[in-house]
Amino acid sequence: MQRMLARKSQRTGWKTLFRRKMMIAGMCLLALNIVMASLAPYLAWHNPITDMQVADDYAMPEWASALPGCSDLPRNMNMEIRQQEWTVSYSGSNGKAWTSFSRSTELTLQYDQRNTSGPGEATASLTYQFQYQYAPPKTFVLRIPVNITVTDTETVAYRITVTLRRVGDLKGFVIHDSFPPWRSSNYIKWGDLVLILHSRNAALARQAGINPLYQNIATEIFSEKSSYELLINLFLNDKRGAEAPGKLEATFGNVSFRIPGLLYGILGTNNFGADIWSQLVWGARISLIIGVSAAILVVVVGLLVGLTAGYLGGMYDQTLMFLTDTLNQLPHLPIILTIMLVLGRNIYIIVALISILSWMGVARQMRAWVLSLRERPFVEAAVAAGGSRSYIAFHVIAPQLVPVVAYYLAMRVPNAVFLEAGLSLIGFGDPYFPSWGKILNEAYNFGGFSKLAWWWIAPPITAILLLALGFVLIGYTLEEVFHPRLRRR
Amino acid sequence: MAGMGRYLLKRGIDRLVLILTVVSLQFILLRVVPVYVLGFDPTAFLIDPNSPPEVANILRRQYGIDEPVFPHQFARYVLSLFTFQFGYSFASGKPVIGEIMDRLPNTVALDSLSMLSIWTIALIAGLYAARKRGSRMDSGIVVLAIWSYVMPAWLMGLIMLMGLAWAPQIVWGIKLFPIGGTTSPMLPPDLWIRLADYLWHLSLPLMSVVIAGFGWLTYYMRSMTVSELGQDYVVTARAKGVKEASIMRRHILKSVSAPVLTVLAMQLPGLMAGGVIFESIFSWYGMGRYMLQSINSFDYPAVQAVLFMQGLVAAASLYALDIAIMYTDPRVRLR
Repeated sequence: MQRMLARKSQRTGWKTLFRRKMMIAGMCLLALNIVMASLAPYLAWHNPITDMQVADDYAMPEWASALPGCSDLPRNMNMEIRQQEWTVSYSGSNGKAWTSFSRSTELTLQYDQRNTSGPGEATASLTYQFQYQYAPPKTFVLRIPVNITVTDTETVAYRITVTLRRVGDLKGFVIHDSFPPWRSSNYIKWGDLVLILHSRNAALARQAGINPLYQNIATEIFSEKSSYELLINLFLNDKRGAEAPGKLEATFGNVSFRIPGLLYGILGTNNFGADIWSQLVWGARISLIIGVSAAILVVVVGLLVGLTAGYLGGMYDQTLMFLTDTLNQLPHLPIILTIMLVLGRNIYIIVALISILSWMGVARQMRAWVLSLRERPFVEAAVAAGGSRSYIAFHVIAPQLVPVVAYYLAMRVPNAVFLEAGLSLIGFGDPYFPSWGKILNEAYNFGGFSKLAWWWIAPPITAILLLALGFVLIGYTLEEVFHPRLRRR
Repeated sequence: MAGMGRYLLKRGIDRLVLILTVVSLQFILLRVVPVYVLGFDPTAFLIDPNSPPEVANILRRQYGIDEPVFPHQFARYVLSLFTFQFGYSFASGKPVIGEIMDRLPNTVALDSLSMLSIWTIALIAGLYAARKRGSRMDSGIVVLAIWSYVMPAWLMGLIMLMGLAWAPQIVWGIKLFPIGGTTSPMLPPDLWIRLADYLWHLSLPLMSVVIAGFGWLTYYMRSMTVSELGQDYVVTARAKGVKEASIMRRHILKSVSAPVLTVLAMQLPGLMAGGVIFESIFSWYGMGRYMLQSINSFDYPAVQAVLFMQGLVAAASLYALDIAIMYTDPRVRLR
């Protein structure tokens, strides 16, 4: 009879549970996290660990353009300059010796000494014009795949320069000059030389006549909104001309010119230019898995210990409770760190350590519940009916503990998530898993604070707190429904 | 009084077992597992690999690794820990005990001040909420307490570091709170200025620990007081005409403080161990940060010394709490 009554009250408890406001709010937060965690590969379009430089470092979110002074910050500009888009022109006394032809994606400039009339100079220029309509950027990257093949010409010295300038401005900035000239000799193939011109390169700044300590070269070059041109010059100095017939071929692949944006994506980028939104979305998966699995382990161990200690009593009770108390009073975090010092930084070790060192509180509470349940008439009835000890423990007492187990399952998740995030924050997370704590660790160590990168620090903190809040709301409602003594008046 | 003696002895044995657990755990972790399970030879780091085996043997004898692990090495280990012979730090080359003594006062200051503040806030807020239960103030305190219980100290610390230290300094150029450290460089040798500077540096970590720590105790205090207020003796006292404040102070506080102290004893080690994270966030020159630094530099002597000291401090403060419980809870004395 008692048992039936208990069952009935539990059933009505479950029914009213889902009508409570706090439960609904908690469930919504949990659902949000589960959706984020399960759809992570579709919501995030970057790999959170490997993808970097998807935009400039410390790029703000796209929607930050609504903030004052941020409306015309540069967006990502990726220009792939194909061979048809170049304007080719020749000059110099031997300029007529140049010819150009194009294969599939390549543009070849050929200098044939047989077409020259004698010693002289020849210049070939490739020009490309483009519009730049944003505020000055912080970085640009220019990749010029170039292959120079020399046949039979010992006497031609050549030199490549790359210039960026505003259209109409004659001088511009020479960002690369291969001076002193490369000497040619017979049968040398230079291979595919990809000329990478990155604006952070100090040699490039020196070449352009800019002190990189005080000025940013990208900001200096693209200081205005107007049209700019990229100019590649190939200078030849032919000392003998047609006397020694030979050939020089310069082959250019598709030149890529990239100005990484300072506004990117949903949550911007971090110091490596990695997408924070992707890291956040994948972090939901990691944090949820860690939190839930650690909570399940904790509750299972706690339930077993509590049932054994509470139901068997005597020696078992004393030994188990002594063990519980001693474990509970150990300095947990230093011990976790020491174990990780010896065993390595691994996500499975983290989960195992979190659950090994936090089941004690659950076990104590479970024992108290079992002690009170043990005296109830329905247990006495089961004993009188001849139930074995394990039957009574697992089939009579344990089902009564379902709400308590649910409560602890909900309340232990935030602790595990926080502990994992805290460990990651001080650098003890698994480096191969993009958890929220790892984002915080990078933000703390790599200038998230000193640059006031709110788009970098606020999302993981908010996400951790929302996840914890969801589980706490659920747990609190469970407690209110099933332990009416704590119900507020 | 005999009961008191027996109680103190029993608790003392409990705390001794706690320290011995820490010691044997660290012995297994730092001495047995790396050498005998993972197979690192500690002498290999110290000598030329081409030197003859006699040199390695001399070194082994010198370090005592040639003896059996148990009981010889273990006994030596325990003895030298309890006599505070922690050896020399790998990282700095100085005696570890000196390094610890430099940092211990800072940690003790932070921990004791935060315990004191948490205790005061919980006492006032918990009793107040219980007295005014059902009111708007009460539900506000309960919500705050739950929120503070959920929030870990380091997360609160990060938020405060961003909002109160970095943001004012960068946006407005005001040094509202320091962004880290224990003292400012180049202070005049005036004691009061130094003390004020120390407290200024202490305030942010202290605030974050207190904000994140007062909730659990407040909530517990409130629910204990609520259940006590429904007892018959309170009704009797009210019927006699005892003032409400007097009931609170003389009756409720007395009966509530014993279980609350027990709860505090359960929470204390966690609060102190949490120092590793928030001390390193605030660059606080304390034991927790030293622990992290020595782990990151594989500084074994420092790690075992800090672990031992933390176990010792935890056990000592728990024993102090045991004595406090003995005076507030008459049942202990009669047992």
